[in-house]
Amino acid sequence: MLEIHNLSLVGITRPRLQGIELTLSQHQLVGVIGANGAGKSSLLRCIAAVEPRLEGEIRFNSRDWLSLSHRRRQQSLGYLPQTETPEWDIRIDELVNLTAQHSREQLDAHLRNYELLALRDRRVSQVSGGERQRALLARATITQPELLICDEPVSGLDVAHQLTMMQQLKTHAQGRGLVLVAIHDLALAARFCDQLLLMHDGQLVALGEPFEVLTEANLAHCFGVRAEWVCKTNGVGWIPTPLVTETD
Amino acid sequence: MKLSSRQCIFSLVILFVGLSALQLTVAETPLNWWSPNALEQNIIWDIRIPRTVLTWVIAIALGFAGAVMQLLLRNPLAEPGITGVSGCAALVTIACLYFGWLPAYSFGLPALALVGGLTGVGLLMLLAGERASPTRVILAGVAIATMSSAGMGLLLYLAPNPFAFQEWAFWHMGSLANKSWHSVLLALPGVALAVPLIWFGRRFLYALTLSEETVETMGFNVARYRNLMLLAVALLTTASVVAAGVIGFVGLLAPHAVRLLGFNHPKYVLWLSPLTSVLLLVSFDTLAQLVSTARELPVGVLAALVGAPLLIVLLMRERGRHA
Repeated sequence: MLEIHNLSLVGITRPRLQGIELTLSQHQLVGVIGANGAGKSSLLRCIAAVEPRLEGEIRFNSRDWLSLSHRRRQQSLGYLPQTETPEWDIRIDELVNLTAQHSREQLDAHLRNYELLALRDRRVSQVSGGERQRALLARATITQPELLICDEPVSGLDVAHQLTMMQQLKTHAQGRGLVLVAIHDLALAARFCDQLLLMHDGQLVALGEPFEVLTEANLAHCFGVRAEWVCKTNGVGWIPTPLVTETD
Repeated sequence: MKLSSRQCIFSLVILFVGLSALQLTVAETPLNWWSPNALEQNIIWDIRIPRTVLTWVIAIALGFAGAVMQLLLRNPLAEPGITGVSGCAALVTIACLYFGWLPAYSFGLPALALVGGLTGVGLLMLLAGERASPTRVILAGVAIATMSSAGMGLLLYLAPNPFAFQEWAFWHMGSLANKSWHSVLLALPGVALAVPLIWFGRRFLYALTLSEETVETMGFNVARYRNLMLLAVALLTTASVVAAGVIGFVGLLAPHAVRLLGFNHPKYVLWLSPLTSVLLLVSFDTLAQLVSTARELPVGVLAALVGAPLLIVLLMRERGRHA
Protein backbone atom coordinates (compact mmCIF):
# COMPACT_ATOMS: atom_id res chain seq x y z
CA MET A 1 0.00 0.00 0.00
CA LEU A 2 1.27 3.45 -0.93
CA GLU A 3 0.44 6.28 1.47
CA ILE A 4 1.34 9.89 0.80
CA HIS A 5 0.87 12.59 3.41
CA ASN A 6 1.14 16.32 2.85
CA LEU A 7 3.56 16.00 -0.07
CA SER A 8 4.83 19.32 -1.42
CA LEU A 9 7.51 20.24 -3.90
CA VAL A 10 8.89 23.74 -4.33
CA GLY A 11 9.45 25.01 -7.87
CA ILE A 12 11.35 28.05 -9.17
CA THR A 13 8.34 30.33 -9.67
CA ARG A 14 5.48 28.39 -8.05
CA PRO A 15 4.95 25.19 -6.05
CA ARG A 16 5.11 22.14 -8.30
CA LEU A 17 3.15 20.03 -5.81
CA GLN A 18 1.01 21.17 -2.90
CA GLY A 19 -0.31 19.12 0.02
CA ILE A 20 -0.87 15.84 -1.80
CA GLU A 21 -2.72 13.28 0.33
CA LEU A 22 -3.52 9.86 -1.09
CA THR A 23 -3.61 6.16 -0.36
CA LEU A 24 -3.38 3.48 -3.03
CA SER A 25 -3.66 -0.25 -2.48
CA GLN A 26 -1.66 -2.97 -4.24
CA HIS A 27 -2.49 -4.79 -7.49
CA GLN A 28 -3.86 -1.75 -9.25
CA LEU A 29 -2.96 0.10 -12.40
CA VAL A 30 -3.32 3.76 -11.49
CA GLY A 31 -3.30 6.39 -14.23
CA VAL A 32 -1.99 9.85 -13.39
CA ILE A 33 -3.72 12.34 -15.66
CA GLY A 34 -3.74 16.11 -16.03
CA ALA A 35 -2.85 18.87 -18.43
CA ASN A 36 0.77 19.74 -19.26
CA GLY A 37 2.47 21.22 -16.20
CA ALA A 38 -0.19 19.86 -13.82
CA GLY A 39 2.44 18.05 -11.75
CA LYS A 40 2.13 14.47 -13.03
CA SER A 41 5.85 13.93 -13.60
CA SER A 42 6.75 15.76 -10.39
CA LEU A 43 4.48 13.47 -8.40
CA LEU A 44 5.94 10.35 -10.00
CA ARG A 45 9.50 11.60 -9.49
CA CYS A 46 8.74 12.23 -5.82
CA ILE A 47 7.35 8.72 -5.39
CA ALA A 48 10.41 7.33 -7.20
CA ALA A 49 12.52 9.31 -4.67
CA VAL A 50 14.56 11.05 -7.35
CA GLU A 51 13.33 14.52 -6.40
CA PRO A 52 15.61 15.91 -3.69
CA ARG A 53 13.63 18.94 -2.55
CA LEU A 54 10.34 17.34 -1.59
CA GLU A 55 8.56 17.77 1.74
CA GLY A 56 6.07 15.39 3.32
CA GLU A 57 5.85 11.71 4.01
CA ILE A 58 5.69 8.71 1.68
CA ARG A 59 5.12 5.22 3.07
CA PHE A 60 5.14 2.06 0.99
CA ASN A 61 4.02 -1.21 2.56
CA SER A 62 4.27 0.48 5.97
CA ARG A 63 7.91 1.47 5.47
CA ASP A 64 9.19 5.04 5.46
CA TRP A 65 9.94 5.04 1.73
CA LEU A 66 12.21 8.10 1.60
CA SER A 67 14.50 7.06 4.45
CA LEU A 68 15.20 3.63 2.95
CA SER A 69 18.67 3.15 1.48
CA HIS A 70 18.95 3.25 -2.32
CA ARG A 71 19.66 -0.49 -2.32
CA ARG A 72 16.62 -1.37 -0.19
CA ARG A 73 14.33 0.89 -2.20
CA GLN A 74 15.58 -0.58 -5.49
CA GLN A 75 14.40 -4.03 -4.38
CA SER A 76 10.78 -2.82 -4.58
CA LEU A 77 10.96 -0.14 -7.27
CA GLY A 78 10.92 -0.06 -11.05
CA TYR A 79 11.07 3.28 -12.84
CA LEU A 80 10.69 4.33 -16.45
CA PRO A 81 11.18 8.10 -16.89
CA GLN A 82 9.51 10.29 -19.50
CA THR A 83 12.47 10.36 -21.85
CA GLU A 84 15.13 7.69 -21.79
CA THR A 85 17.73 7.15 -24.47
CA PRO A 86 20.42 4.54 -23.83
CA GLU A 87 23.73 6.29 -24.37
CA TRP A 88 25.64 3.25 -25.61
CA ASP A 89 24.58 1.08 -28.53
CA ILE A 90 24.27 -2.18 -26.61
CA ARG A 91 22.20 -5.29 -27.40
CA ILE A 92 18.57 -5.53 -26.26
CA ASP A 93 19.32 -8.45 -23.90
CA GLU A 94 22.23 -6.47 -22.41
CA LEU A 95 19.93 -3.48 -21.90
CA VAL A 96 17.24 -5.52 -20.18
CA ASN A 97 19.79 -7.26 -17.94
CA LEU A 98 21.91 -4.12 -17.48
CA THR A 99 22.83 -4.42 -13.81
CA ALA A 100 20.76 -7.45 -12.84
CA GLN A 101 22.49 -10.79 -12.95
CA HIS A 102 19.79 -13.12 -14.16
CA SER A 103 20.54 -16.47 -15.71
CA ARG A 104 20.00 -16.91 -19.42
CA GLU A 105 16.82 -18.92 -18.78
CA GLN A 106 15.36 -16.23 -16.51
CA LEU A 107 16.30 -13.51 -18.96
CA ASP A 108 14.82 -15.41 -21.90
CA ALA A 109 11.55 -15.93 -20.01
CA HIS A 110 11.37 -12.23 -19.23
CA LEU A 111 12.21 -11.27 -22.82
CA ARG A 112 9.50 -13.66 -24.03
CA ASN A 113 6.92 -11.96 -21.76
CA TYR A 114 7.70 -8.67 -23.46
CA GLU A 115 7.94 -10.15 -26.97
CA LEU A 116 11.60 -9.27 -27.17
CA LEU A 117 13.14 -12.70 -27.57
CA ALA A 118 13.51 -12.35 -31.33
CA LEU A 119 15.21 -8.99 -30.83
CA ARG A 120 17.65 -10.06 -28.13
CA ASP A 121 20.76 -9.79 -30.32
CA ARG A 122 19.77 -6.54 -32.02
CA ARG A 123 21.40 -3.33 -30.93
CA VAL A 124 19.42 -0.41 -29.50
CA SER A 125 20.01 1.53 -32.74
CA GLN A 126 18.59 -1.34 -34.79
CA VAL A 127 15.10 -1.47 -33.23
CA SER A 128 12.08 0.83 -33.57
CA GLY A 129 11.05 3.38 -30.96
CA GLY A 130 8.23 1.11 -29.77
CA GLU A 131 10.54 -1.88 -29.43
CA ARG A 132 13.07 0.21 -27.53
CA GLN A 133 10.36 1.47 -25.18
CA ARG A 134 9.27 -2.13 -24.60
CA ALA A 135 12.86 -3.09 -23.84
CA LEU A 136 13.15 -0.21 -21.36
CA LEU A 137 9.95 -1.36 -19.66
CA ALA A 138 11.30 -4.91 -19.57
CA ARG A 139 14.46 -3.50 -17.93
CA ALA A 140 12.39 -1.68 -15.32
CA THR A 141 10.39 -4.81 -14.48
CA ILE A 142 13.12 -7.47 -14.55
CA THR A 143 13.38 -7.36 -10.75
CA GLN A 144 9.59 -7.86 -10.52
CA PRO A 145 9.13 -4.65 -8.52
CA GLU A 146 6.16 -4.22 -6.19
CA LEU A 147 5.97 -0.55 -7.19
CA LEU A 148 6.34 0.32 -10.86
CA ILE A 149 6.36 3.96 -11.96
CA CYS A 150 6.14 4.86 -15.66
CA ASP A 151 6.07 8.43 -16.91
CA GLU A 152 4.21 8.60 -20.21
CA PRO A 153 5.35 5.19 -21.46
CA VAL A 154 3.00 5.20 -24.45
CA SER A 155 3.81 8.63 -25.83
CA GLY A 156 5.18 8.32 -29.33
CA LEU A 157 3.92 4.77 -29.80
CA ASP A 158 1.41 3.68 -32.44
CA VAL A 159 -2.01 2.38 -31.40
CA ALA A 160 -1.05 -1.30 -31.44
CA HIS A 161 2.06 -0.70 -29.33
CA GLN A 162 0.08 1.53 -26.95
CA LEU A 163 -2.41 -1.26 -26.33
CA THR A 164 0.36 -3.84 -25.88
CA MET A 165 2.24 -1.59 -23.46
CA MET A 166 -0.88 -0.85 -21.38
CA GLN A 167 -1.77 -4.53 -21.26
CA GLN A 168 1.73 -5.35 -20.05
CA LEU A 169 1.43 -2.73 -17.31
CA LYS A 170 -1.97 -4.13 -16.33
CA THR A 171 -0.58 -7.66 -16.20
CA HIS A 172 2.31 -6.49 -14.02
CA ALA A 173 -0.12 -4.73 -11.65
CA GLN A 174 -2.27 -7.82 -11.32
CA GLY A 175 0.68 -10.12 -10.77
CA ARG A 176 3.16 -8.06 -8.78
CA GLY A 177 1.82 -4.88 -7.25
CA LEU A 178 1.05 -1.24 -7.73
CA VAL A 179 1.69 0.42 -11.11
CA LEU A 180 1.54 4.20 -11.48
CA VAL A 181 1.49 5.51 -15.02
CA ALA A 182 1.31 9.10 -16.27
CA ILE A 183 -0.78 9.19 -19.39
CA HIS A 184 -2.27 11.80 -21.72
CA ASP A 185 -4.62 9.54 -23.64
CA LEU A 186 -7.77 9.62 -21.49
CA ALA A 187 -9.52 6.92 -23.51
CA LEU A 188 -6.61 4.57 -22.99
CA ALA A 189 -6.47 5.51 -19.31
CA ALA A 190 -10.18 4.89 -18.88
CA ARG A 191 -9.95 1.57 -20.60
CA PHE A 192 -7.01 0.06 -18.74
CA CYS A 193 -6.63 1.85 -15.38
CA ASP A 194 -8.31 0.66 -12.21
CA GLN A 195 -8.10 4.14 -10.74
CA LEU A 196 -7.30 7.58 -12.07
CA LEU A 197 -5.52 10.34 -10.23
CA LEU A 198 -6.32 13.79 -11.67
CA MET A 199 -3.78 16.55 -11.12
CA HIS A 200 -4.20 20.28 -11.66
CA ASP A 201 -1.75 23.08 -10.74
CA GLY A 202 0.26 20.76 -8.50
CA GLN A 203 -2.78 19.63 -6.56
CA LEU A 204 -4.70 16.39 -6.48
CA VAL A 205 -8.17 17.18 -7.80
CA ALA A 206 -9.76 13.75 -7.94
CA LEU A 207 -8.92 10.11 -7.23
CA GLY A 208 -11.20 7.23 -8.05
CA GLU A 209 -12.45 4.92 -10.74
CA PRO A 210 -12.36 6.36 -14.27
CA PHE A 211 -16.08 7.11 -14.44
CA GLU A 212 -15.82 8.99 -11.12
CA VAL A 213 -12.86 11.10 -12.20
CA LEU A 214 -13.60 11.79 -15.86
CA THR A 215 -16.61 13.94 -15.21
CA GLU A 216 -17.62 16.85 -17.36
CA ALA A 217 -16.86 19.28 -14.53
CA ASN A 218 -13.38 17.84 -13.87
CA LEU A 219 -12.45 17.88 -17.54
CA ALA A 220 -13.63 21.45 -17.95
CA HIS A 221 -11.74 22.53 -14.81
CA CYS A 222 -8.46 20.69 -15.45
CA PHE A 223 -8.18 20.57 -19.24
CA GLY A 224 -10.24 23.62 -20.23
CA VAL A 225 -12.46 21.58 -22.51
CA ARG A 226 -16.01 20.33 -22.40
CA ALA A 227 -16.23 16.65 -23.21
CA GLU A 228 -19.01 14.17 -23.56
CA TRP A 229 -18.23 10.62 -22.58
CA VAL A 230 -19.88 7.92 -24.59
CA CYS A 231 -20.01 4.51 -23.01
CA LYS A 232 -19.72 1.78 -25.58
CA THR A 233 -21.22 -1.66 -25.13
CA ASN A 234 -20.17 -3.86 -22.19
CA GLY A 235 -18.27 -0.98 -20.61
CA VAL A 236 -15.07 -1.68 -22.52
CA GLY A 237 -14.19 1.90 -23.29
CA TRP A 238 -15.10 5.51 -22.82
CA ILE A 239 -14.54 7.79 -25.76
CA PRO A 240 -14.11 11.51 -25.20
CA THR A 241 -15.79 13.79 -27.67
CA PRO A 242 -14.66 17.38 -27.45
CA LEU A 243 -17.58 19.72 -27.98
CA VAL A 244 -16.43 23.24 -27.24
CA THR A 245 -12.93 24.36 -26.45
CA GLU A 246 -12.97 27.04 -23.79
CA THR A 247 -10.67 29.71 -25.08
CA ASP A 248 -10.35 33.30 -23.94
CA MET B 1 35.85 -13.85 -41.03
CA LYS B 2 34.38 -12.50 -37.82
CA LEU B 3 36.23 -13.27 -34.60
CA SER B 4 34.39 -14.29 -31.45
CA SER B 5 34.81 -12.19 -28.29
CA ARG B 6 37.32 -14.64 -26.81
CA GLN B 7 39.33 -14.85 -30.03
CA CYS B 8 39.36 -11.07 -30.23
CA ILE B 9 40.61 -10.64 -26.66
CA PHE B 10 43.19 -13.41 -27.17
CA SER B 11 44.42 -11.63 -30.31
CA LEU B 12 44.77 -8.39 -28.36
CA VAL B 13 46.85 -10.16 -25.71
CA ILE B 14 49.11 -11.69 -28.40
CA LEU B 15 49.46 -8.26 -29.96
CA PHE B 16 50.33 -6.82 -26.55
CA VAL B 17 53.16 -9.34 -26.08
CA GLY B 18 54.51 -8.75 -29.60
CA LEU B 19 54.40 -4.96 -29.43
CA SER B 20 55.96 -4.88 -25.97
CA ALA B 21 58.81 -7.08 -27.20
CA LEU B 22 59.28 -4.70 -30.15
CA GLN B 23 59.30 -1.67 -27.85
CA LEU B 24 61.92 -3.34 -25.62
CA THR B 25 64.25 -4.17 -28.46
CA VAL B 26 63.90 -1.19 -30.76
CA ALA B 27 66.68 1.32 -30.17
CA GLU B 28 69.62 2.94 -31.92
CA THR B 29 72.10 0.64 -30.18
CA PRO B 30 71.33 -3.05 -30.60
CA LEU B 31 71.73 -5.16 -27.47
CA ASN B 32 72.61 -8.78 -26.98
CA TRP B 33 69.50 -9.90 -25.08
CA TRP B 34 70.56 -13.54 -24.62
CA SER B 35 73.98 -13.00 -23.07
CA PRO B 36 74.32 -9.32 -22.18
CA ASN B 37 77.52 -7.92 -20.74
CA ALA B 38 77.50 -5.78 -17.57
CA LEU B 39 76.79 -2.53 -19.42
CA GLU B 40 74.04 -4.10 -21.48
CA GLN B 41 72.55 -5.58 -18.33
CA ASN B 42 72.41 -2.10 -16.84
CA ILE B 43 70.78 -0.71 -19.98
CA ILE B 44 68.24 -3.52 -20.02
CA TRP B 45 67.33 -3.42 -16.32
CA ASP B 46 67.64 0.30 -15.65
CA ILE B 47 66.46 1.83 -18.95
CA ARG B 48 64.67 -0.53 -21.33
CA ILE B 49 62.53 -2.61 -18.95
CA PRO B 50 61.50 0.36 -16.73
CA ARG B 51 60.46 2.24 -19.86
CA THR B 52 58.26 -0.60 -21.05
CA VAL B 53 56.80 -1.21 -17.59
CA LEU B 54 56.16 2.51 -17.20
CA THR B 55 54.42 2.54 -20.59
CA TRP B 56 52.12 -0.24 -19.37
CA VAL B 57 51.35 1.54 -16.09
CA ILE B 58 50.74 4.93 -17.75
CA ALA B 59 48.64 3.35 -20.48
CA ILE B 60 46.54 1.42 -17.96
CA ALA B 61 45.99 4.67 -16.06
CA LEU B 62 45.03 6.58 -19.21
CA GLY B 63 42.82 3.76 -20.54
CA PHE B 64 40.90 3.43 -17.29
CA ALA B 65 40.66 7.22 -16.85
CA GLY B 66 39.28 7.69 -20.38
CA ALA B 67 36.79 4.83 -20.07
CA VAL B 68 35.58 5.94 -16.61
CA MET B 69 35.17 9.55 -17.76
CA GLN B 70 33.24 8.54 -20.87
CA LEU B 71 30.95 6.21 -18.96
CA LEU B 72 30.51 8.59 -16.04
CA LEU B 73 29.73 11.67 -18.14
CA ARG B 74 27.81 9.58 -20.72
CA ASN B 75 30.00 11.34 -23.20
CA PRO B 76 32.10 9.65 -25.90
CA LEU B 77 34.37 12.71 -26.11
CA ALA B 78 35.47 12.85 -22.48
CA GLU B 79 39.14 12.26 -21.71
CA PRO B 80 41.42 13.62 -18.95
CA GLY B 81 43.77 15.36 -21.43
CA ILE B 82 41.10 17.14 -23.45
CA THR B 83 39.09 18.07 -20.39
CA GLY B 84 42.05 19.71 -18.68
CA VAL B 85 42.25 17.32 -15.72
CA SER B 86 45.78 16.25 -16.72
CA GLY B 87 46.77 19.90 -17.20
CA CYS B 88 45.67 20.81 -13.67
CA ALA B 89 47.62 17.87 -12.21
CA ALA B 90 50.67 18.87 -14.26
CA LEU B 91 50.37 22.47 -13.10
CA VAL B 92 50.67 21.46 -9.44
CA THR B 93 53.51 19.01 -10.26
CA ILE B 94 55.46 21.72 -12.06
CA ALA B 95 54.93 24.18 -9.21
CA CYS B 96 56.22 21.58 -6.70
CA LEU B 97 59.26 20.60 -8.79
CA TYR B 98 60.49 23.88 -10.16
CA PHE B 99 59.89 26.01 -7.10
CA GLY B 100 61.65 23.45 -4.96
CA TRP B 101 58.67 22.58 -2.75
CA LEU B 102 59.31 18.87 -3.19
CA PRO B 103 62.12 16.79 -4.73
CA ALA B 104 61.38 14.76 -7.87
CA TYR B 105 61.68 11.46 -5.99
CA SER B 106 59.23 12.43 -3.24
CA PHE B 107 56.05 10.42 -2.92
CA GLY B 108 54.42 13.62 -1.70
CA LEU B 109 54.50 14.70 -5.35
CA PRO B 110 51.64 12.48 -6.56
CA ALA B 111 49.71 13.35 -3.40
CA LEU B 112 49.98 17.08 -4.12
CA ALA B 113 49.37 16.58 -7.84
CA LEU B 114 46.17 14.76 -6.85
CA VAL B 115 44.92 18.08 -5.48
CA GLY B 116 45.46 19.52 -8.98
CA GLY B 117 43.68 16.57 -10.60
CA LEU B 118 40.73 16.84 -8.23
CA THR B 119 40.56 20.58 -8.85
CA GLY B 120 40.47 19.90 -12.60
CA VAL B 121 37.66 17.34 -12.21
CA GLY B 122 35.76 19.69 -9.87
CA LEU B 123 36.14 22.62 -12.26
CA LEU B 124 34.91 20.48 -15.14
CA MET B 125 31.79 19.43 -13.27
CA LEU B 126 31.21 23.01 -12.12
CA LEU B 127 31.64 24.62 -15.53
CA ALA B 128 29.83 21.96 -17.53
CA GLY B 129 27.05 21.49 -14.98
CA GLU B 130 25.00 18.38 -14.35
CA ARG B 131 23.62 16.49 -17.35
CA ALA B 132 25.84 18.53 -19.64
CA SER B 133 25.84 17.85 -23.35
CA PRO B 134 29.03 16.41 -24.85
CA THR B 135 29.82 19.72 -26.52
CA ARG B 136 29.45 21.59 -23.24
CA VAL B 137 31.85 19.20 -21.50
CA ILE B 138 34.38 19.71 -24.27
CA LEU B 139 34.00 23.49 -24.16
CA ALA B 140 34.46 23.52 -20.39
CA GLY B 141 37.44 21.17 -20.83
CA VAL B 142 39.04 23.38 -23.46
CA ALA B 143 38.75 26.36 -21.10
CA ILE B 144 40.36 24.43 -18.23
CA ALA B 145 43.05 22.92 -20.47
CA THR B 146 43.92 26.34 -21.89
CA MET B 147 44.12 27.90 -18.45
CA SER B 148 46.26 25.09 -17.06
CA SER B 149 48.50 25.18 -20.15
CA ALA B 150 49.01 28.92 -19.75
CA GLY B 151 49.67 28.39 -16.04
CA MET B 152 52.27 25.71 -16.82
CA GLY B 153 54.02 28.02 -19.28
CA LEU B 154 54.05 30.88 -16.81
CA LEU B 155 55.35 28.74 -13.95
CA LEU B 156 58.11 27.22 -16.08
CA TYR B 157 59.06 30.67 -17.37
CA LEU B 158 59.18 32.18 -13.88
CA ALA B 159 60.79 29.17 -12.20
CA PRO B 160 64.17 29.87 -10.56
CA ASN B 161 65.62 26.80 -12.31
CA PRO B 162 67.19 28.18 -15.54
CA PHE B 163 66.47 24.97 -17.51
CA ALA B 164 62.88 24.68 -16.42
CA PHE B 165 61.37 26.27 -19.52
CA GLN B 166 63.26 23.86 -21.77
CA GLU B 167 61.17 21.07 -20.29
CA TRP B 168 57.99 22.64 -21.58
CA ALA B 169 57.64 19.97 -24.28
CA PHE B 170 57.96 17.16 -21.74
CA TRP B 171 55.17 18.47 -19.53
CA HIS B 172 52.98 19.64 -22.37
CA MET B 173 53.28 16.66 -24.73
CA GLY B 174 54.41 13.94 -22.35
CA SER B 175 57.39 11.66 -22.79
CA LEU B 176 58.51 8.20 -21.78
CA ALA B 177 62.18 8.84 -22.52
CA ASN B 178 64.90 8.57 -19.86
CA LYS B 179 62.65 6.97 -17.25
CA SER B 180 63.71 4.73 -14.41
CA TRP B 181 62.06 2.43 -11.90
CA HIS B 182 61.53 5.52 -9.78
CA SER B 183 58.98 6.83 -12.30
CA VAL B 184 57.21 3.49 -12.18
CA LEU B 185 57.05 3.71 -8.39
CA LEU B 186 55.66 7.25 -8.60
CA ALA B 187 52.86 6.16 -10.92
CA LEU B 188 51.96 2.80 -9.37
CA PRO B 189 50.25 3.89 -6.11
CA GLY B 190 47.65 6.02 -7.92
CA VAL B 191 46.74 3.16 -10.26
CA ALA B 192 46.75 0.65 -7.39
CA LEU B 193 44.34 2.84 -5.40
CA ALA B 194 42.08 3.69 -8.36
CA VAL B 195 41.47 0.18 -9.71
CA PRO B 196 39.66 -1.11 -6.56
CA LEU B 197 37.53 2.07 -6.61
CA ILE B 198 36.58 1.37 -10.23
CA TRP B 199 35.80 -2.26 -9.40
CA PHE B 200 33.54 -1.06 -6.58
CA GLY B 201 31.72 1.36 -8.90
CA ARG B 202 31.64 -0.84 -12.00
CA ARG B 203 27.91 -1.62 -11.89
CA PHE B 204 27.17 2.07 -11.41
CA LEU B 205 29.17 2.82 -14.55
CA TYR B 206 27.33 0.09 -16.49
CA ALA B 207 23.99 1.47 -15.25
CA LEU B 208 24.91 4.92 -16.55
CA THR B 209 23.96 3.65 -20.00
CA LEU B 210 20.65 5.10 -18.81
CA SER B 211 19.95 8.54 -17.36
CA GLU B 212 21.14 9.51 -13.87
CA GLU B 213 17.49 9.72 -12.81
CA THR B 214 16.94 6.08 -13.68
CA VAL B 215 20.27 5.03 -12.18
CA GLU B 216 19.17 6.65 -8.89
CA THR B 217 16.23 4.21 -8.82
CA MET B 218 18.48 1.24 -9.60
CA GLY B 219 20.01 1.18 -6.12
CA PHE B 220 22.84 3.67 -6.56
CA ASN B 221 23.42 6.86 -4.60
CA VAL B 222 24.46 8.77 -7.72
CA ALA B 223 26.22 11.65 -5.95
CA ARG B 224 28.33 9.32 -3.78
CA TYR B 225 29.28 6.97 -6.63
CA ARG B 226 30.03 9.90 -8.95
CA ASN B 227 32.41 11.42 -6.42
CA LEU B 228 34.17 8.07 -5.98
CA MET B 229 34.60 7.69 -9.72
CA LEU B 230 35.88 11.25 -10.06
CA LEU B 231 38.42 10.48 -7.32
CA ALA B 232 39.49 7.42 -9.32
CA VAL B 233 39.91 9.54 -12.47
CA ALA B 234 41.95 12.11 -10.55
CA LEU B 235 44.18 9.35 -9.06
CA LEU B 236 44.78 7.78 -12.48
CA THR B 237 45.44 11.08 -14.21
CA THR B 238 47.80 12.21 -11.49
CA ALA B 239 49.66 8.91 -11.65
CA SER B 240 50.31 9.32 -15.35
CA VAL B 241 51.14 13.02 -15.19
CA VAL B 242 53.74 12.89 -12.39
CA ALA B 243 55.61 10.14 -14.20
CA ALA B 244 55.28 11.10 -17.87
CA GLY B 245 53.68 14.53 -18.25
CA VAL B 246 50.44 15.20 -20.10
CA ILE B 247 49.83 12.52 -22.72
CA GLY B 248 46.57 13.47 -24.36
CA PHE B 249 44.14 11.55 -26.59
CA VAL B 250 45.19 8.02 -25.50
CA GLY B 251 42.31 8.06 -23.00
CA LEU B 252 39.99 9.08 -25.83
CA LEU B 253 41.30 6.59 -28.38
CA ALA B 254 41.37 3.49 -26.15
CA PRO B 255 37.61 3.20 -25.38
CA HIS B 256 36.79 3.93 -29.02
CA ALA B 257 39.18 1.21 -30.13
CA VAL B 258 37.21 -1.20 -27.91
CA ARG B 259 33.93 -0.04 -29.46
CA LEU B 260 35.41 -0.35 -32.97
CA LEU B 261 36.13 -4.00 -32.18
CA GLY B 262 32.39 -4.44 -31.58
CA PHE B 263 32.38 -4.33 -27.78
CA ASN B 264 29.78 -1.67 -27.01
CA HIS B 265 28.69 -2.80 -23.55
CA PRO B 266 30.19 -0.56 -20.84
CA LYS B 267 31.57 -3.71 -19.17
CA TYR B 268 33.89 -4.37 -22.10
CA VAL B 269 34.67 -0.69 -22.63
CA LEU B 270 35.72 -0.38 -18.99
CA TRP B 271 37.87 -3.50 -18.71
CA LEU B 272 39.32 -3.66 -22.24
CA SER B 273 40.24 0.02 -22.55
CA PRO B 274 43.41 -0.41 -20.45
CA LEU B 275 44.50 -3.19 -22.83
CA THR B 276 43.84 -1.19 -26.00
CA SER B 277 45.46 1.80 -24.31
CA VAL B 278 48.62 -0.26 -23.67
CA LEU B 279 48.65 -1.36 -27.31
CA LEU B 280 48.29 2.23 -28.50
CA LEU B 281 50.87 3.77 -26.17
CA VAL B 282 53.43 0.99 -26.76
CA SER B 283 52.94 1.50 -30.53
CA PHE B 284 53.26 5.28 -30.24
CA ASP B 285 56.39 5.00 -28.10
CA THR B 286 57.98 2.46 -30.43
CA LEU B 287 57.21 4.73 -33.37
CA ALA B 288 58.57 7.76 -31.47
CA GLN B 289 61.86 5.90 -30.97
CA LEU B 290 62.00 4.76 -34.57
CA VAL B 291 61.32 8.09 -36.26
CA SER B 292 63.50 10.18 -33.93
CA THR B 293 66.87 11.35 -35.03
CA ALA B 294 68.78 13.86 -32.89
CA ARG B 295 66.13 14.25 -30.21
CA GLU B 296 63.40 11.80 -29.35
CA LEU B 297 59.90 12.83 -30.37
CA PRO B 298 57.56 13.24 -27.36
CA VAL B 299 55.10 10.35 -27.43
CA GLY B 300 52.22 12.79 -26.89
CA VAL B 301 52.89 14.30 -30.34
CA LEU B 302 52.11 10.99 -32.03
CA ALA B 303 49.09 10.43 -29.78
CA ALA B 304 47.78 13.87 -30.73
CA LEU B 305 48.44 13.25 -34.45
CA VAL B 306 46.18 10.19 -34.33
CA GLY B 307 43.79 11.40 -31.63
CA ALA B 308 42.94 14.88 -32.88
CA PRO B 309 41.41 13.71 -36.20
CA LEU B 310 39.38 11.14 -34.27
CA LEU B 311 38.09 13.89 -31.99
CA ILE B 312 36.99 15.88 -35.06
CA VAL B 313 35.18 12.83 -36.47
CA LEU B 314 33.45 12.22 -33.14
CA LEU B 315 32.44 15.87 -32.82
CA MET B 316 30.91 15.75 -36.31
CA ARG B 317 29.06 12.56 -35.41
CA GLU B 318 27.75 14.18 -32.19
CA ARG B 319 26.62 17.20 -34.19
CA GLY B 320 24.69 14.84 -36.45
CA ARG B 321 23.09 13.12 -33.46
CA HIS B 322 21.97 16.38 -31.86
CA ALA B 323 20.89 18.09 -35.08
